[in-house]
Amino acid sequence: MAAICFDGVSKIYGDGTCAVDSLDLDINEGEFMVFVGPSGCGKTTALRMVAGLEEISGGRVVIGEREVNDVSPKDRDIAMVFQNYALYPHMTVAANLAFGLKLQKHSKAEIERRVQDAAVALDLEDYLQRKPKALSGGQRQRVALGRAIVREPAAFLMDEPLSNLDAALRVQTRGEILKLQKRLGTTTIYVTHDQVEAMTMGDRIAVMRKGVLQQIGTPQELYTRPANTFVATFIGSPAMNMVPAGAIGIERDALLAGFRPEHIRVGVAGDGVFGFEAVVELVEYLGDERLAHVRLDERLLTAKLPADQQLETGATIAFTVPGQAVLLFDAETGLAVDAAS
Amino acid sequence: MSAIQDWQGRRRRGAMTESQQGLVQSADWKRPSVRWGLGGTQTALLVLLVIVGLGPILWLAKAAVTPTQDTLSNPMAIFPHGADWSNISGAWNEVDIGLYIWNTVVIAFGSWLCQIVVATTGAFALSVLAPKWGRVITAALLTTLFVPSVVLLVPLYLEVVHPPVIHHSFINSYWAVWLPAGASAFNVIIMKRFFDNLPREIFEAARIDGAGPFRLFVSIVLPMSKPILGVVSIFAVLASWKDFLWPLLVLSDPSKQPVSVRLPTIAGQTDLGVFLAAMLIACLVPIVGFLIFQRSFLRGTGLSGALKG
Amino acid sequence: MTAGAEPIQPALPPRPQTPPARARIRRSPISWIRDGGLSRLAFLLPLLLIFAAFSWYPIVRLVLISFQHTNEITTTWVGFQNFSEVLNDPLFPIAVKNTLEFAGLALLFGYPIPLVAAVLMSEVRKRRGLYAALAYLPVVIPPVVAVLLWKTFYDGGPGGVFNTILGWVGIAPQSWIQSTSQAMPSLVLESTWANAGGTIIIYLAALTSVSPELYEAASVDGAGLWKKIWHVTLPQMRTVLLVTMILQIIGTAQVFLEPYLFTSGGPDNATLTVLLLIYNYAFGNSLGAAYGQAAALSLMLVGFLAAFSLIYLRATRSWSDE
Repeated sequence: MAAICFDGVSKIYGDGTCAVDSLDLDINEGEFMVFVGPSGCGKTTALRMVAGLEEISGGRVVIGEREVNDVSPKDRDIAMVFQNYALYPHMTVAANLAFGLKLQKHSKAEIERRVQDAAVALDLEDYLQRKPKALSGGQRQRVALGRAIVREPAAFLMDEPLSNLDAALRVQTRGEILKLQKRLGTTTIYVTHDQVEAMTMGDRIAVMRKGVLQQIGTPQELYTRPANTFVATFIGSPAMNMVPAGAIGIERDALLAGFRPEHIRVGVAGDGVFGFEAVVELVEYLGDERLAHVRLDERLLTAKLPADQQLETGATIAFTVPGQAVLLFDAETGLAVDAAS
Repeated sequence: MSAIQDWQGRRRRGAMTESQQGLVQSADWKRPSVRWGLGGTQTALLVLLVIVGLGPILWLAKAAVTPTQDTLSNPMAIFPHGADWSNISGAWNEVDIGLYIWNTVVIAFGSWLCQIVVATTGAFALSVLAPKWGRVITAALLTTLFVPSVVLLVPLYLEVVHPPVIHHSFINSYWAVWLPAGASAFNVIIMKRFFDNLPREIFEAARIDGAGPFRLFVSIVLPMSKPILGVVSIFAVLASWKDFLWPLLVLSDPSKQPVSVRLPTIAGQTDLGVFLAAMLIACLVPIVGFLIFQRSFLRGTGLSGALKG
Repeated sequence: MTAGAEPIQPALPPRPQTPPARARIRRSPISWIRDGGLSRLAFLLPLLLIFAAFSWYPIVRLVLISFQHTNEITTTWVGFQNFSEVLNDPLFPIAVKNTLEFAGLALLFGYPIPLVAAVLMSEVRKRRGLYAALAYLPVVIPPVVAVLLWKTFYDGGPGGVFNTILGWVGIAPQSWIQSTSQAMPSLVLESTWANAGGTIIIYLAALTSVSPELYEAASVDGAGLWKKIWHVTLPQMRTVLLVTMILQIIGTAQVFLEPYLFTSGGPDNATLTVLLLIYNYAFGNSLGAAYGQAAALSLMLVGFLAAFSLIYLRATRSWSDE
């Protein structure tokens, strides 16, 4: 176990593209840190720099007490789980798990023990003599995890490890990875583009965009206090509504008002409650709730309403939003503005 | 997707749908005109293939154990005066065909080894280790595809007679055949394309597992490349078995010559029956090899339509 | 929105300023070695040595020799003299004509027959492997054996194999390779026999790659067998047909074994090909080796073939790359 520290880390490719722009980030010992962002945001590049698979163009990466910029991947005491699992196709499951240990020159008995332990932990005992080809997607994924845990590394690096599983299996495996990580207590960096995955798994989440770190915080912090409009709309589903502040009756220039769909209710504005009128365009009945897509001026907003709330398509309805649920952002920079100021 | 994987995929699909679809559909097959017309043509084709493909070899097998006089006077008669097995022992003992076949094996093995070493290590370096000047080297390799090896006979021959640096003639040494065989750009490029299509993630996983370049090559890349190794190996062995002109030039000592080089001389010096027996023996090894590795042969040939140099 | 984003960040100790893109700037031998430079070089070494010695250097030397008079001891520069000697050699036009004749006849025999055979074979329902194996069998016979065997078949006497067969249907014995007019077609016949199998397999591979759905679609559209061959099969095989044609042209332009072993270029130079002429210049001349002329003619052949190789490379690139 070790803390990982990004200290002004940059990645600039030969053609001048900047994939990661001076990233500063501290990951605590034993923490489950999620890097999330749209594709091309630099999250995978950042992870690969920790792994030693990408050269670091600037700044330094520290694992534990040691700067690892010039340390080769095998000496960084990390293990990685790849998106497509990267299992060695010509080796059995047991050989896949043992390969790294053999190269580290562990004793036969030690290798045997660790492989056995990992197989038990991941429910792979019956498949040890099979080749990856003969396994299901979920089993391959577990072998990939197993290959990481047998190493007993200081940190796990996971690059979208669930993206090749179907939806049901993904939810189940999500839980298993979390349990495993909590039990082992190994520092983990987990890269995903799926904000739900990020929210459910991360102790803390780092949101990235175009190579720049947007915000870092616990899931709750990101959800309730997003640092800018990007984080606000990226985290949460359906996405946060974002309208000019004037549209809901906040008379301040050059501000955007953001509020989450679940905070909208039908009703009339009052003390401490902002209001607006909007045209109902489409209502989706989801059983436990209704999603109403409504038009305010030229903007489409989403409202999460109680299931018994009746709405007529095409009607103009008055909606409310409680004042404490409204976040303000600078229209120019997108940065969060303290509501009190 | 690499040409090979692609081709295998097609084959598999082809095999699965063999009885189902194609140019002529199942429904068409039920029509009498198609069934008799096409079926008849195919039977005729099979008969023709047996006569053309197998006929000459069967004739050779027959003539190899027929007295020379019978072969000369009535070549198409089947054992008019019985068989003459002494041709075979003559080919083995007097002509010493066994020695020349052994020479051919030695030459083929060395050429194969040289080609495999050059192609696998070179392609690994170019594809996986990707040095900065890799593109230059690849371009230089591609250029050699424009120069068929036969037109280099003269400079190669002069080089082997008077090698630069080492002032010792390679004439009558097997090295003169083995080493030039390694300079096959076709092998390197086909191998490189295969390596290019192996998933990079696996190499990265191996690096994190602690594999250096050598370990990566031996434990990961080579085992994953068995199909292409098979194809290249078969073509290397077959090409060296077939080669005539180059070994003729550089191996002037008859006791070192391969069977292909030796046969024309034997033809002029030996009784026809014995000579034909020697020819039959010379055919047997490649034919048996073909029957064993038929799938790889055919797969490789289909592939060579895509990128033969 | 992002430009001035002020992320909430944990405090970090001040870091030393490292210049970006440091890897590109300094490249000392030590960092090169640590970067795996040594192992890269080690893996490339066999390729570099072998190709330098047996491909790149000989190519350069070929060009040099073509401007030299050289025996194995002395060398003099002679400019374009070798080229003019070759061009003025009365045998040169004969060799070119013969090679073109061989190539033309080989295309005539060897191009359509495998295509028809492959189309028929691709529709075989049972034992397709047997068909393919039979067709391919001649390809695995060592060419020297094949030529010497056919030389026996071509025996011009009435007791020759082919003449005996012709006798069954009442055709008089032919002189085959001993006749100036029949020698070249006889060579081509043997060469077609020896090589057609490979072409058939290439076609078969291409034919199995034609999607069955296309045929089904054509059937639904009401296309009959011939229309399907014409509108679906052949267009799908355009590239393969081009590739095999070029491979055949390149191959036949280098024909050597057949004329050398069957006829030694005879009778009366009727089967003297370009490569045989090159061989004769360099190795078949009792008056001393004319390496310069052999190199000059080789170079001309390379130039001629390069055009076809270019077409070939372009065709296969678009075909076999992803």
